[in-house]
Amino acid sequence: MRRGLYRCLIWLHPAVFRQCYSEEMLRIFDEAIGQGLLPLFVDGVRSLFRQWLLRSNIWKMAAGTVVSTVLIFGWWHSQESSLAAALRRGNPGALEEAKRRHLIEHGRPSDGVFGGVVQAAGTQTVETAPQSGARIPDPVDAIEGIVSAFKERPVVMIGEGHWLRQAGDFYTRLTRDPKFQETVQDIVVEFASRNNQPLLDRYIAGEDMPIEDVRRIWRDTTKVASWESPVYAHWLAAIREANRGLQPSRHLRVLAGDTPVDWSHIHSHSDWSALGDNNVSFAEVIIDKVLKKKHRALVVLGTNHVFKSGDRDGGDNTTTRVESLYPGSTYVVLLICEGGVARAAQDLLRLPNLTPPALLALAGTPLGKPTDPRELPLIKEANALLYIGPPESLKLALPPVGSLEPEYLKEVDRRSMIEWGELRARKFLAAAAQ
Amino acid sequence: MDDTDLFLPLSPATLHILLALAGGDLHGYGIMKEVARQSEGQYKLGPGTLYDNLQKLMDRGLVKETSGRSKNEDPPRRHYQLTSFGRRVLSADVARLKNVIKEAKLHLHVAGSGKTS
Repeated sequence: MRRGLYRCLIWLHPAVFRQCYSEEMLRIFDEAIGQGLLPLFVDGVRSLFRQWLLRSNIWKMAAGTVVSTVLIFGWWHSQESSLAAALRRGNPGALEEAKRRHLIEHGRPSDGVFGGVVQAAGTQTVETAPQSGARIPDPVDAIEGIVSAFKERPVVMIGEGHWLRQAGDFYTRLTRDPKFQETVQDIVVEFASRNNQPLLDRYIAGEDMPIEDVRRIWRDTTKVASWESPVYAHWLAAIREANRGLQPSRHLRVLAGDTPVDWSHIHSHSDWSALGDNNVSFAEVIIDKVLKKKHRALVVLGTNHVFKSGDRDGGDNTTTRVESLYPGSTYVVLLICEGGVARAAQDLLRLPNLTPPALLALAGTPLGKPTDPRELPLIKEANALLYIGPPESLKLALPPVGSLEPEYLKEVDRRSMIEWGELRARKFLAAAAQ
Repeated sequence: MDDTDLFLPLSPATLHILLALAGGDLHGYGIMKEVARQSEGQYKLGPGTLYDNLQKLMDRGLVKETSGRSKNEDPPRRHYQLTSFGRRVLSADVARLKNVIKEAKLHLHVAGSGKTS
C-alpha cells in the first residue's frame, strides 16, 4: 500500500525524470522505509513540484503568455490613443504621422518575407517592418548554432540530402570542433545497421581492421548500395581520427541506427519487406542509447525521417516517434538542398549576410511560408535550416570509378533485384559500377 | 575568473553530494547514507532531492555515471563518480568556506572580546 502510494507519486513526475530515476527511487524507498515514512513522502511531493514547476519549463510558458498579453495590450492601447488624440486635436500633421506609424506597423505583406517598400499617401515611401511579430532571421555559424542547440535539446537531428559533398565536409568540420566534442557523446547514423555496432565500435576506437570488415559497416544495411558515396566513409574516418586526440572517456561514439539485417537470409522481396520501417529502429536507438542514458546526440538521417510533423505520407517518422515518448527532446535542422526545402526557403537564400555554413533558427521568423498551400510552413517541420551553399552548387560525391569489386557488385545486383525487381543500384552507382 | 567560480557557492545539497562522492563511487542510496554520516544526521537528503541534484551535476560535468555496475546487485544499480572538474569545484568551495570560517572566527572572537572587556 505504502509502496503503491510512493510509486504513484513517482508516476506523477514528468516522463523524462520518471524514466531515468523511478526504479532507483523505488529501490531507495524500499531500503529507507525503516527510517521513517513521512520524510520520504514529503521529499517525493517536493520533488513533484520541483520537477513540474522549475524543471519542465511550464513556468516559462506561463510567463511568456503573461508577458505577451501585456505587450499586445500595451501596443494596442498606444495605437488607439495616438489615432484618437490626432483626431481630437484636428491636427493633420499628427494624423498623418499616426497613419504613417499605423502603416509601418500594419503594412501589407511585402513580396519578400523580410520586409520591403510600399507606396503610401501619394508620393511618400516608407519601409515596412517584417510581418507582425516576425523577426528577421539572424544567420549564425552553423557549428556554433548546432552546439548551442544542445543547451536546450539533447538530440539535434540533421535532415540531409544524401551523398552531398559539402554536407560531408560540414559533418567532418563539426566533428573536429572542440566544443562539439565536449558537448556530444553520440552520433546516430542511418548508414549502418545495428548488428554491425561491434564493428563500428572497434573501427571508431581506432583498431586496425581489414578494409573488408570496415566496408561492411555501410554496405550491409537495409538499403541497397545507398552509402557508397565516400562522404560516409570519410566522415567515419574523421570521427575515428578525432577520438585519437580525446580522452577515452570523452570519445565520440557512433551509433548504428538502421534495422539489423543479415543479407545471407534475405532471398525475396517479402523477406526484405519484413525488415519493417527503419524509423522504428532509429527511434529505438535514440531513446535507448541516448535519451535513457541522458546523453546528447547528433543524428543524421534523410530529411523524410526527421520532419517534425511526420513523413511525407503522413505516417510516423523518427522524430514523431521519439517526441511521443520524450516531448521536447529533439531539435530538427533541415539541410537546404534542391527540392522542397530550398523552394520554401527561397527568401532566406536572398539574405545578404548569408555565408556558409550557416544555421537559421526559424522560431519567430516569417521564413518558410509555403509556396504551395498543401505544404506545411517550414516552422512546422523544423527548428532551423542549415545552409552549406547555394542549392544549385551542391554536388554529389560519387564513388570513384571502378572502386567497387566485381564480387560486391554481383551481390548488389542480387539485392537490387530483391528490393526493386531491377538493377537500379547500377544506375546511381554510375561509373563506379563499370 | 577561474572556470570553477561559475559554480560557487555550492548549495548545501550539492556540497554534501560532492563530498560524499569525494570518497569514492557510490549509488544513490549510498550517497544518502554517506551524507547522513558526514553530517552526523543533521542533513538528510530524500531520493527526489538527490536525483534532481545528481541530474544537474551530470549536466554540468561535475559528476558522471560510472560505466561499471556492481555484478552482485540484481538489478544492477547506477553508480556515480566525481569527475576531476567536480573535484576542482568542490576544492574551490571548501577553500571558500575556510575563508568564511576564518572571518567568522575573527569577528566572533572580536565581538566576544568586546562583551567581556
